[in-house]
Amino acid sequence: MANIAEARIKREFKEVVKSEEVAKCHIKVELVNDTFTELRGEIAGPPDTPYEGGNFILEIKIPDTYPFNPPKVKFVTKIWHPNISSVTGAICLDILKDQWAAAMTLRTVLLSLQALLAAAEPDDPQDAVVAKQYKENPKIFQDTAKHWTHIFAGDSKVAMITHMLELKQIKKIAISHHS
Amino acid sequence: MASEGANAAKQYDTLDGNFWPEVMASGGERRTITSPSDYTWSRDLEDSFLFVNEKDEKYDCPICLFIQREPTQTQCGHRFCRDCIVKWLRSSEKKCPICVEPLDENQLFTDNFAKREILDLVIRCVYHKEGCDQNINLRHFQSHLSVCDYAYIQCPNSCANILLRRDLQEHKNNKCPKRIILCKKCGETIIAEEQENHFDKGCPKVEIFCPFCKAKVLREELERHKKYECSNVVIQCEFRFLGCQAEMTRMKMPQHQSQAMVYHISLIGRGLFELYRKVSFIHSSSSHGQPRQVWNPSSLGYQPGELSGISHSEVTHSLDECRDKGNIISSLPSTLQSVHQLQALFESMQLQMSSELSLPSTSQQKNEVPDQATPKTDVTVVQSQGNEQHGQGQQDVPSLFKRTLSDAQHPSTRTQEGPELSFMSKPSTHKDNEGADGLSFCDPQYISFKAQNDYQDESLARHDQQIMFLRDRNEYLERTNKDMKTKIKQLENTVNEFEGRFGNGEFIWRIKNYTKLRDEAIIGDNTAIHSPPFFSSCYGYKLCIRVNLNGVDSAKGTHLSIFIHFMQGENDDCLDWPFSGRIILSVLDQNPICEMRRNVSETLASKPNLAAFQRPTSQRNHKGFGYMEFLPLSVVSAPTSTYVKNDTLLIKAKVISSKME
Repeated sequence: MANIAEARIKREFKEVVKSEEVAKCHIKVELVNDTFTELRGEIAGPPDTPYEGGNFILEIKIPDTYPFNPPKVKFVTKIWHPNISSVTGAICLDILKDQWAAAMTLRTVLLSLQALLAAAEPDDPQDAVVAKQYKENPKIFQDTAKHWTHIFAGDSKVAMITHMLELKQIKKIAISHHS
Repeated sequence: MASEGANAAKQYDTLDGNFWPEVMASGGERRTITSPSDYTWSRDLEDSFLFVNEKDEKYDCPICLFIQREPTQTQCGHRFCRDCIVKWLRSSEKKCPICVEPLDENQLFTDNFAKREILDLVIRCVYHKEGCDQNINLRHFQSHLSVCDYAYIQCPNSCANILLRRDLQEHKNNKCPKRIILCKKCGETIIAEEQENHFDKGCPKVEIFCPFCKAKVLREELERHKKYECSNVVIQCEFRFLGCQAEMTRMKMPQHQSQAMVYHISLIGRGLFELYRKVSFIHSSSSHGQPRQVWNPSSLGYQPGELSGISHSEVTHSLDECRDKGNIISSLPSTLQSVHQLQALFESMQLQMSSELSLPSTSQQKNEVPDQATPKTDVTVVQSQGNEQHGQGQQDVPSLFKRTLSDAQHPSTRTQEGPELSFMSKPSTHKDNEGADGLSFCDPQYISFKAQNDYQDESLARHDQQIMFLRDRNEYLERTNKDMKTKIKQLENTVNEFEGRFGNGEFIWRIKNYTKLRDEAIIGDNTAIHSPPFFSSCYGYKLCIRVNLNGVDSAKGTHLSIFIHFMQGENDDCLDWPFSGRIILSVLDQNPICEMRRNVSETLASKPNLAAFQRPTSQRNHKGFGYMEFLPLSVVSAPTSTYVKNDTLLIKAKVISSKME
């Protein structure tokens, strides 16, 4: 990996970790390996959407040419959304493609994805089946999306993955209740 | 960018060389933009920057997120590092990375105002944790690094130590293992860390143990010690030139000297006689026509029969020849000088001997000997008588003297007193001479013991030397043997490499000791074995075969697994990656009947996206490609199987690179 990419990711990583969105548990980035070529992102489902309460895990791969080329991002958590493949998790978002700008960062990417969850673009779909349902049968779409969120990005599961400390706390409480 | 501070520890992993984006210079020539002169610090250091006043984010480049280098503003009012924005514009659709306004390279201008502001930013020295309390502006940061007392630098002696600059002098003077010091003992200049070695191997002033006597001596003194002092060194008897072959340790030499005194005297005597013979020979050959004049040994009271190797008749003959002479000495002054020397030596030996053996009379009598030199005829007769009577030629010198002298003193009674003389010469009459052990010094038995003893000492010394010689020889052979082994190993490796290289992509791997290796695989000691490397062609890809004799993962215990692993080769730089082509793997049937051979072959085609076919980043690519279930183990180890013969399994690989086709 070109050094500029690694150096920049290191800086961004610090920036995201310090950001207020992380403080509010809206977004999160974790390292997967030591070389900063691969990261694991996490975004919370935006309120007043079928994704509310879910936590969605993302796979982020940093190309050697970063930041002159966008990072490769896809959903690991299954999600029901017109611009995201329900099978592969691939994302259709302009800034991850031709509208990428070198001044964008991991933080802005994650926030943009959060915004995408809140405002789908059914006219530029990634998953045609979902987009069709979204347009023709919004009610069923809402229910399906909610159901998927519940099944695949459910609170407790996410809590387990993301908030191990909290979980320990819960365990302690549970144990003390038992005794 | 070899900056001045390049030796600072924090900069070791600097990104300098690669960090700056590569752009095409205006002339089309490819060049790496190096950092401008004002920004010579490594960007890695920026992580350690602590600004005295909070730094405004406006000085950061939105592209690289570091402090802007050669700040460059766009027409739309955004500021970047020059290299960053240029690279962005050349690799994208010419839009501002921030406001996405269309932007062209010629709409950029250098923002020197911002540059000045940036270079005036004040930071604490990056080595403030190490103790530097200076605040510096960025303009002078780099020059400060090259003088900062708290900067990490490498020892100039390349001792691999990294230390603070202020500790360098102390380190160089006292601690650096590579510093030059004077040897405390010999004063030679040596490298500090080699001092021990110097003491052990080279220093002439170090006390070492003599390998023979274990005494402590200076190394430089050792040779001298061995030559003149060491009591355990084997030396030669100083009478060697006269024929004493004894060799023994210096410690035993005095004992030998005293024990073999008689022997030595006899040697001297023999030497003396030889000398006489030579003298007479020279004399006779130098005085043609004149009557031959011969030195008579008996003029010194010497008994010719004593001198082994000279026949009695010969001596008598030479005596006969020198009946009338008186002018002998004057004719051979120089030769005589050496004769006198020998004589002196002989006398001194006799003196020593007589004092040791309490024979005071001998020396007195000896002194009279030259006076007795004239009555030659009589002496000869008496001497022959003595010889006849004893007939053993082993008589000791003092007794002979006595006999000769008594003859000389009583010439008239000589013939009658013959028996008495012989009586006198009998050892039993010399009670004075008896040694503590009851054996007289003159006793032939005693002498024979002595001779025996001398001989044994001699052979012991010889054996000692032989042992030492053999030990040396053995060491030499062991060393040679070791060298040979290393060489054989090297040659084997070379042969293996040649085999692998010139097989033109074909390689047959003989797995010997199959049963043992299989057992190891079953126990789990050694589940995978790798073949020696081979090449797809002479200068082609370097590969090896991996075999799991007891299978791997899901095939464990059921199948033989075979994989191909690519290895780092010296040709990798000019080969195409990922590898593309086919690899045929076979297990060869070794059935003696050709028609019945059933080789098991599988062809695998490369898959460019698999890690196994990428250029290996380690000596051997960890990822291989092949078949987990190549051949059921039941087939391989069936009683009728001919896949394993002589405990050897043959695996063949044929690599066909598509480039070659």
